[in-house]
Amino acid sequence: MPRDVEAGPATLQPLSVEGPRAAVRIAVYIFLAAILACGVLQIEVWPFSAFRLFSTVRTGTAVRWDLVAVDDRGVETPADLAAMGRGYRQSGHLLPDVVEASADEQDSACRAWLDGDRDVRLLRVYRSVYVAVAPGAESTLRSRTLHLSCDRS
Amino acid sequence: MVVPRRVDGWLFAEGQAGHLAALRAGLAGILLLRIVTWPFVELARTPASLFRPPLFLGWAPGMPPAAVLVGLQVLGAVAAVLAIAGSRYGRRPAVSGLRVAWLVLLALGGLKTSTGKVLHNDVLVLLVAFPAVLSSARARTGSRVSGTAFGWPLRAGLSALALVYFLCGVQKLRHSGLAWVFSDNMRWILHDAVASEMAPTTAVASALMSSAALSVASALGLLAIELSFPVVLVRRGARWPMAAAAVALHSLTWVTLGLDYWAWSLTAVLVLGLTGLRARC
Repeated sequence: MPRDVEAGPATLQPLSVEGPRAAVRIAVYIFLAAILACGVLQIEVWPFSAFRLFSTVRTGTAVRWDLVAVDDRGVETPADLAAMGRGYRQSGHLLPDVVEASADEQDSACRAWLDGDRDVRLLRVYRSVYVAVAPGAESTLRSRTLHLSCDRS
Repeated sequence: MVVPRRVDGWLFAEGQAGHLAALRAGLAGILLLRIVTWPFVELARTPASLFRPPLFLGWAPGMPPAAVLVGLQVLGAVAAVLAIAGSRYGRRPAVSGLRVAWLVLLALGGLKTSTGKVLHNDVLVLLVAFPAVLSSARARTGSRVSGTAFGWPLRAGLSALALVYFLCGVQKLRHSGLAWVFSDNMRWILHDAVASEMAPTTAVASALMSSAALSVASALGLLAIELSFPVVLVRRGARWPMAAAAVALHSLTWVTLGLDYWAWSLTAVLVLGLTGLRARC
């Protein structure tokens, strides 16, 4: 049997050993170039990515967007997105987009979050600045700005 | 497209059929685990107004219903099993099964990343598997037959792997410079991790965080691993050590930050292990 031909166990037909067609070779190069280009040009076209994993230096000052639930007495607690389910868990990352969106889009997003927790009557979106004096020390809220508020009405 | 002849010669050089079959079976195994171990059905409750699909799913008005998500999981699992079994005998299902399983994880992973944040957990295996998905060469595990049909899916996958890790390192330098290593950056990352309580234990993160020297050393080690990954393209002897380094990196990430990157570990071990074998591939 020639070195580059192998019999399949059942069919006894030779398995293909020829190299890829030109179109496949080009596709491979485009594919590898796309991975590189997404990194260089900072493009996120999932599953291609810029791969900016933990790429920004962290300090003791953290700016975050907070989704806060308000109870009947006016007491604020962080909305528990994880408890609302997998579909909500990462939705806090949408807050910067939502506060910039149209009134209709803001309203529908707020309704979605309110539907996620039937006990919540009022939600507020803050841009908050937290500061910790040293790694390991407790972070404290230094300032926050209200960007959006919505209720079930 | 102009590609240096040396690069083209390396990428499309001969390889062993057995290695391609093992790559297919291994990738199908990782795809299978990714498809069956994550509760995709829970995504069905994602409200349409919070649905932000990636480009290739932009046509979808919202998250599919639970039945569709479960159906995709079943389809992907069956296809992956067929790919694994088919690799044993060099049958057609090894090729088509891998393709279907890859498409299923592409769709399910795309839906998972449609909920507000770009998630990278499935990205590496999807990218590394793409060349194997393109390949239609039939091959069976254990075969020593060699040919130009069998080598390039491994080398292209290896190139994708090296590029991804390298880019992870480059972005840290690009956006933070050496301060990523030689500042309190890692201590603050660990500080946030301890506060989030996502990791299985806070003991390791707390121990690293308490020492500036240990934090800098861990940041330096992590960055060195990522930036030196392209060495696997030119040094076969570096592949097994880099596989071990990748496993250590992701294990430490899980223990300290609670971020689950086991699919990256398995993918790195599979590709670096196969291409690190003594036989030419």
